[in-house]
Amino acid sequence: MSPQRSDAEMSAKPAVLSLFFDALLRGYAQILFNRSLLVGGLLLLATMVSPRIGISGLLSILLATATAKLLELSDDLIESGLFSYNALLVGLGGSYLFEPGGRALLLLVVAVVASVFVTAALHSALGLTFNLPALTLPFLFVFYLLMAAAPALGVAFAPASAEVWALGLPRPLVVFLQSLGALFFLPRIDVGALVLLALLVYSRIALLLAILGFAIAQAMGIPLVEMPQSLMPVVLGYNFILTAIALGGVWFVPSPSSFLFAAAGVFFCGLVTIGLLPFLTWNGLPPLILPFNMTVLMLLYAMRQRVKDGRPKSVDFFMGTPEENLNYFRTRISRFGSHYLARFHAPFLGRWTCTQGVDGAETHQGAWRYAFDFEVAGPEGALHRGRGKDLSDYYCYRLPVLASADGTVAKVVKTVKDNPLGETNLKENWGNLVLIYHGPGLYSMVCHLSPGTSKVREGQFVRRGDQLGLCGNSGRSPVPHLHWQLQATERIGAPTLYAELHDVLSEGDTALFHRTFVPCKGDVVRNLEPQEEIGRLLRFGYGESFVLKRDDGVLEEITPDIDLQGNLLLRARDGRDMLYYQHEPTHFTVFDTLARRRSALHLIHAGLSRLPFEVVETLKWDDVLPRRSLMPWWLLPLWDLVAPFFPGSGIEMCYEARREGERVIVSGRSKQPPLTTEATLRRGVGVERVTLTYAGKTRSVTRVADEESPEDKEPKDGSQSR
Amino acid sequence: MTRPVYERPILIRHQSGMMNKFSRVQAMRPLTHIDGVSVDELVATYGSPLFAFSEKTLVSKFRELRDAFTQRYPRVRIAWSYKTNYLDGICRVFHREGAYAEVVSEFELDKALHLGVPAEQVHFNGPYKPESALEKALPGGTTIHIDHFDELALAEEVAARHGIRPEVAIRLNLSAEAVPAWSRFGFNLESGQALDAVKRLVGGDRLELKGLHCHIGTFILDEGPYREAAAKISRFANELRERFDITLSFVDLGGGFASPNTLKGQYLPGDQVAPSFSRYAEGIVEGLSELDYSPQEMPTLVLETGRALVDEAGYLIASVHANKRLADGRRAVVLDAGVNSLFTSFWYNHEIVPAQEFRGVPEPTVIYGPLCMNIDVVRDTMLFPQLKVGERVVFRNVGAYNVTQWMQFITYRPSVVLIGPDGRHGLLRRPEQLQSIISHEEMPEWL
Repeated sequence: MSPQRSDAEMSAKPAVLSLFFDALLRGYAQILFNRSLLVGGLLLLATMVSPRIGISGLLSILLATATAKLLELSDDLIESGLFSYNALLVGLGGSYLFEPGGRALLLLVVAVVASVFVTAALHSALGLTFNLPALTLPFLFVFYLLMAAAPALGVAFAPASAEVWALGLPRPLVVFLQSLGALFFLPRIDVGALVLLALLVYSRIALLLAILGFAIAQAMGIPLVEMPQSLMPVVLGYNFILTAIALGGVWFVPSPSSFLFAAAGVFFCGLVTIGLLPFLTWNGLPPLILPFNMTVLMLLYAMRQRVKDGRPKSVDFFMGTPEENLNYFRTRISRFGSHYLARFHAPFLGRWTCTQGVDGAETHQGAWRYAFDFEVAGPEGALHRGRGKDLSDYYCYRLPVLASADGTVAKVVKTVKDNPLGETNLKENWGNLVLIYHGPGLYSMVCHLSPGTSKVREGQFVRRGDQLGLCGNSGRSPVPHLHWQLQATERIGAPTLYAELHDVLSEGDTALFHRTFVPCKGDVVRNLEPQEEIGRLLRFGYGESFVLKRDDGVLEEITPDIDLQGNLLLRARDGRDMLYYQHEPTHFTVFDTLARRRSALHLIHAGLSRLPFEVVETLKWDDVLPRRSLMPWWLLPLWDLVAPFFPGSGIEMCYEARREGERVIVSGRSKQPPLTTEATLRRGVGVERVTLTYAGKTRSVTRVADEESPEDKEPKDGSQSR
Repeated sequence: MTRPVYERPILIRHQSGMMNKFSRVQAMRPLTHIDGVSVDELVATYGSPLFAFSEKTLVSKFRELRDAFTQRYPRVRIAWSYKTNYLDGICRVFHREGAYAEVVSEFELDKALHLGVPAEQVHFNGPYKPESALEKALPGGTTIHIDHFDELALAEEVAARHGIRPEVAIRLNLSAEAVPAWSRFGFNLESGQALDAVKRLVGGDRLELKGLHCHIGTFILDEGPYREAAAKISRFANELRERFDITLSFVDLGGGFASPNTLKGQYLPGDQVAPSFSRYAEGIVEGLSELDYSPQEMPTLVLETGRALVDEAGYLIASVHANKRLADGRRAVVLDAGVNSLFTSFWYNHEIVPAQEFRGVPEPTVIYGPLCMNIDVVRDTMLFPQLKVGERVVFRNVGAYNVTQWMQFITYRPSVVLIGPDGRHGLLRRPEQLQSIISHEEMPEWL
C-alpha cells in the first residue's frame, strides 16, 4: 500500500513538442534537484545573461533530447530532464572553455551526444546496482575527457572572462552569488542573483540549506572562489551549496537531524575537496562538481546501510521539493506509521488486553523487546474466572487466534503440550506457533498456542482473519496468553522487529480508532467491527460523477477515477484537482489532495480524512490534516522556513460520527487552531454536505441533487464558474 | 444503652442438608444498597413500590455477552429485544453500547425510531406486520424477518409500490434437541417449507434474501439446542448458496438465553443452572462452523437477547403492609406490590430479600400482593424472616418483561428509576396518577 503521488503527468500528451519543451526546462531545473518548469525557465533566463554560453547550453539540450529520442530511450526519462542537465553542463562548460570555432563546435557536438550515452549507461548502472542517482557524474566523465582531448585535437582554451561587479556588496554575499552563478559556468553576481531567485521559488528550505552549506565551507577556510592564472577559475562554492541541499532536504526529509547531517556532509565535502585539489591541479584539471558527487553518493549509500531509517529519515517516496517532502512525510508518518509492506490487524477476535508490551518486565527485552502479549479480561477485570485454578478458567484459553495480515505460512509447530498453570517449558520456548511470511524480511509470529489446534499447513496462503489456532499455554508460558511479534527471518527465536498494530481500536470509556497503535500493558485492543451500510455511503462508483456546489456558487463536478497504478481518486474540474483515497473493508482514508486552493476536494479531505465504518457514540479517532493547504498564501514562504524545526506541523484533529436517521454526520475539531469540520453523508446519496470553519471563516460544499442538475454534463464543470 | 430487641418464639420443622427446594436460605443477606444507593433513599425519593435498574449491571451484562461472542466469532450484532423492556432509558443504555434493536410490532418500531435508532439498525420480527407497518419498515431500510407466505406477498407488494428492493430475512422453525419446534412462527425447515419460501422469494424477484432467523424457544438452559439450530441453519445456508447463489449477510439465532431466575418447578436454583454466555457462544459458534463460508465472508451473527441482559439489572422494592397467620400455620406477608406489577411471578420463584438487617429464624412464609384477587401470590411458601410493617423487601432479577407486561389493575403503576454508575439516580418512568389513566378516557355525550 503506497499512497502514490503524482503531478499532472496524466494530462500530458507525449507529443514531441511538449516532450522537448519539458526536457528543456526540466534540464535546467534538475540542476537544483527539481522538476518545476518555472524554476527551469528562470534558470534558462540566468544563462542567457551571456548569450553565447546560454544559447550553447540551450542547443546542447535540444541536441541531447533529439539524440535520446532517436535512440528511443525512455520518454519518461527524457521528459524528466535526465539527459538534458548533463548535456546542458557539457554545453555550458564547453562554450565557456573553448575558443569559438568550427573545431570547437564539432568537438562540443560530439561531447553532447556522448553525454547522452554516458548518462544512459551510468543512470542504469548506478540505479540498478546501487540504487543511487547518477547525479552529474556523466557530465564530469565527459567533461574531463573533453578537457584532456581538446589540446590534442587542436582546440584552444580561452575561458570567457568572468568580470565581477562587486557593487559594494559584502564579500561573502559576492562569493555566494558567484558560487551560484558558477553552477552554470557563469560566476557572475547577476547570474547568481537570478539563480538565487530560482532557488527561492523552488524552496525556502533549500535556500536555508544553501546558506548553511556555504557558511560552513567559509568557516572551514576553503578557497571558494579563486581566479588564478590557470585554465579556469576555481569556483568551489556550489559543491557545498548543493551538498547541503541534497542531504538536508532532497534525499532526506527536512528536520533538525537532516540539517545536522547536511552540515556534516558539507564538512565531509570540504575534506574531499581539500584532499582532491592537489591531485587535480597537478593534472591541470579543475575540481568542478566532483566533490559534491563523491560526497553525496558516498553518504547516500552509507545511510542506506542503517538498520533503522529514522533520523534523518530518507525520502522513500515520490521525491518533491523539500517542502513537499516534509509535508508529505509528516502527514504520512503521523497518519500511517512506519510499515507499508503489510498492515497488521489484531490477531484475535473481540477485545483482548495487552498484558506485556514493548520492553515488558517479564520477557520482552533485548533482541525480543518488540513483542506483545495479550489476554482476555472478564467483567470485573480479572483474567480468569473464580480463583483461576485451571487453564480453562482463563478467559483467553482456547479462543481463536487469527492471521494479522495476508501471507504464506512459513512454519507451524503444533505438538507441544500445554503447560499446567504456573509451569513453563523452556526447552520448547515458543511452544506451538504459526509463522507467516508477509514479504521480504517481514514475518509475523503467534505462539503459545494450544496443541493440535492449528489447521494451517506450511506453504499455505492465509488471509487476514483466517484462524491459525487456539490460544493455549505451551512453551514459556505460565498462564494462557497469546504472544505476537514481527521478525526479519524465518528462524524461530529470531530477534523481533519494531511492530505496531494497524487500524485497531483501543477501548476505555471512549474507544479510539488508531491507524497505527503500539499497545502498552493494560490497553484493551480490538479490530473494527464494520457496519456495511456505513461503507456504502462512501463507495464512489467508477464513472458515477456528482456535482458539488461551493458556497461561492461555483459548481464542481467530482468524477471518481482510477489511475494507472490502481489508486482510487476523485477528480474535480478539468481533472487536474485530485484527491487520492482508499476504501478498505473496514474504513475509508484520504491519502492526499493535490488541488487548487479553493477546490471542493480540500473540504472533502478535511471533513472525511478518515472514516471507520463503525459508527457508535463512544468511538472517536484522531487524524492530522496538512496545514499548508489551509494557510493564507502569503504566510507560506515564512512557514516553510520554520516548518522543519516544528515537529507537529500538521493540524491535529479529533473526529467522531453520529447517526441521525438516514444520515451519518462526521464532525471534526482541531485541538489547537480553531478548525472544525462537519460532513454529512446520506443513505443513497453519499456526500451531501461538507463545511469547514477555520480562523472564523466558514466554507462549505453542498451536493446538487441529481434531478436538479441538467442532463448534459459538459456545462457543469469549472468552466461555467462565474 | 440499647435494649435487646424482643424476638418472638417460633416452632419450625428441622430441614437437613445444604440444599432444599426452598434454596439456600442460610445465605440470605439483606440488600440495603443498590450500586451504593441506599434502598431507604430510593423509597424516600420515589415512594414504594418502586422498580430500580442498575445501569452498571446493564452495561456489564451487555459487555459480557458481547465479549463472549465477539471473541469467538468475527462479526456479531446484538439486537436488543425491545419487548423485554422498552423503556427509553433502558434502550438508550444498550444502544449507546452499540446494540441494534429487535422489535416485534409497529409500536415497538415506532418507539425505536423515536429513540433515534437508525432504521437500518432495526430487526423486525413477529407474525403480525400489517401493511402500515411494512410501509414504514421497508422503505426505511429496516430488515423484516418474514413469518409466513402472506407476509411475503404483502412485502413484495409494498416493495413494488415503492420501487425498492428491500433486504429481508426469513424466519425458520426447526426442532433442536429436546426443544420442540415453535412451529407457529416462521417456515418449517425439516418439512421443506423453508426451502419453498426461498424459492418463492427468489422467484418473486422483488426482495433480497440477506438473512435467516430462528428463535428456538425461551429460557433454554443448555447450549446444545443452539448448537444444533446453528448447524441446521448453516446447512440450509450452504444449500441456498449452492442452489440460488445466495450469500447471507446475517444469521439470527434469536434469543432465549436464561437469566439467573428460578422457574417454577425447577429443582435447582437458577443462578446455578443458567449457562454462561461463553457456553452459549461456544455452542452457537461450533454449529456455525458448518457454514461453507470463508472467514472474511462469514455472515454476521445476530443475537436478539433481552431477558439475559436486563433481568439482573432490575429490582423491585416493596414494603411490608401487614403480617398474617394463615389457617395452616404458615405466616403470610402482604406487600404493596403484587402480580399487577410483578407479572413474572407467574413464571418464577423470585428471589426476595429484606432491605434491612433482620434477626430471628426464617420461617415458611407466603408473600401476597395488594390485590383483592386470589391469584395475587408473588411468592409461594419460602423461608423468610419476620419483618415489621413498613420494612422493605427487594425482589431481584425482575428487569425483564415486568415493565412491559405489568397491569394497570385496581391501582397505579409505580415509578421506575435508573441508578447511574456514579451514585446518581433518576426517573425512567413517572408513577401513574389518576390523570394518566383518565386522560385516555372519553365520556360519550349522551351520558
